Amino acid sequence: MNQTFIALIIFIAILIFVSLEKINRTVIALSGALLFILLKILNQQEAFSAIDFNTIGLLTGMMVMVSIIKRTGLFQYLAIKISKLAHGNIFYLLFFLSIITGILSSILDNVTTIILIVPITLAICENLEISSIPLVLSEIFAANIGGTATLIGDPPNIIIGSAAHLSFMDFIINLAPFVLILLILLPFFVRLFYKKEMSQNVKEAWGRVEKFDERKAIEDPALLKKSILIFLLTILVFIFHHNLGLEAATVALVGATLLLLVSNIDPAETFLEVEWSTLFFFIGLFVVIAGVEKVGIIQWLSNKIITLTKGNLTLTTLAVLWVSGISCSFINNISYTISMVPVVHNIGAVTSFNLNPVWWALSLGACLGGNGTFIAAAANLVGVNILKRQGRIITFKEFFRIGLPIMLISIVLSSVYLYLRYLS
Amino acid sequence: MKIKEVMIPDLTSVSADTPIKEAVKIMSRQRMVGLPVVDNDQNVIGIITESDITKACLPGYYKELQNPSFIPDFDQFSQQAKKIAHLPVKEFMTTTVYSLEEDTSRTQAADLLFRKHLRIVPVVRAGKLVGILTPSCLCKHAMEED
Repeated sequence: MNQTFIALIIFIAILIFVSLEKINRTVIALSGALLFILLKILNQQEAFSAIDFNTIGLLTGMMVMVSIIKRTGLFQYLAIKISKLAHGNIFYLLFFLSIITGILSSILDNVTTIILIVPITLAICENLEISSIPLVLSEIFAANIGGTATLIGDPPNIIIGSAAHLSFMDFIINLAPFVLILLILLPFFVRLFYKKEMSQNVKEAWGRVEKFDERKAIEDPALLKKSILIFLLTILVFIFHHNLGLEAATVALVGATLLLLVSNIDPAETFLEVEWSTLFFFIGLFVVIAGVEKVGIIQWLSNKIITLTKGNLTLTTLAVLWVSGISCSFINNISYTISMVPVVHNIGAVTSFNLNPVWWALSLGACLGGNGTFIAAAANLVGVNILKRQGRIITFKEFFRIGLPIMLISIVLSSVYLYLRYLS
Repeated sequence: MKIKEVMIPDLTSVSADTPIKEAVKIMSRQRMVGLPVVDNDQNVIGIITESDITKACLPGYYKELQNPSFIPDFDQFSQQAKKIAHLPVKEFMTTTVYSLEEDTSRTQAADLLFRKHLRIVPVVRAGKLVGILTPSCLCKHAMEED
């Protein structure tokens, strides 16, 4: 059997097994990576140099920072404070909680956002004696949408930013305004599915929520002040990181180390919260894709795309957007994005396209596709599992009934946005 | 020394159908942190502890919250407590019970208590309840023996 065929089989097997989630995804990615080395498709040197340490460093830095800041209780404080603005109107509550989830998720990873916001939502709903399902679902969708807005919001963006040398501000300028529109539209759309729940009268029980004292959520005021200062400083440096000639990973790691320095928290304790498994999943995938690229599969795929779209930038951009959105509703968006990066690079090399719209299409498709099914993104599974522990089961079908239309509408709107802004 | 010499030869227990409210009353009267649950033949079939009952009274979101101190009142806890008061012990008891035969050595018993962080263990003879053992039984004897 020739190497191309073997590489293709390993690659497809990885995509299938990672999506089935029967075996741990990191183990699958590492096994695939090592198979490429054992079968001599790549040597060790090639494999190691395929790992994008800018992505790994940025992810690690952000994980350390978030693990320290979340101890302060700041995010709970914000969630309670904003919830109170609803003044007993369930739709307003859904609206405000979705917006804050989307905004937080643009600076935190989606799973952390869900872990922080959903429990507060449950506390509010139980005190109001209303169903938490519409709110939690809306928060899950908002987390996936909000993550699309920035370089650090969702892993596909980190991968794309690093591969295409797109800065923090590039994402803010090109994606954030459109994502904000999607975020604002989301609660109105969720309301269509839960009309009855949204019209309940909770004026009487609202007093209980009013009594929530958000100041008590702040666990360590001294750490809070230091963390906010360093976090804002880090974001400020992120805004100028390209002008300063600094890679995103450097900025995140400096922020993380500074925070470790001033917080006086034992690094060993903080590092326990770093998701090593996710980092090694990335490492395994980078090696796998380098193998797939070496045997020429990526080259073949990008040539096919160019032929099918007749070398037309508009068609290529829209094809990348739709294929990404639909694929990422079913397969893991990290593995998908890592696979697509060399494809887009190749398209750029063969054609004379300005690749930026294609990168934004990849980002929008990969991130927004996460809303399609509940297996599509980690935040979905985490949110649904928290509800399950409360005895509220959301089936694949129930999630799909709302998630799929939300995904499709957001991809349609993305098509319009990309066309009007970059292609017309 | 065997644990039958250091245990509390107290046969206070409840049946699986005893209402939770009753079990709590007995615990509080006898100052016990848990009660063995026995069948009609005094065979130990479970154990119900203060912590099982407290957990059942806590609202579901409590465990998920990093810090629940911003929730001001006791309403949810009281409501839930009232809800479960008349339910039978069997709905909340732990059925995988660590029990000790009365001839077990103190070392083995201490190992079980400390390793599993148990605050009360039923002591049995051929499966039938003959007493209970707590960490303080072991400590008290160890301190007082010559």
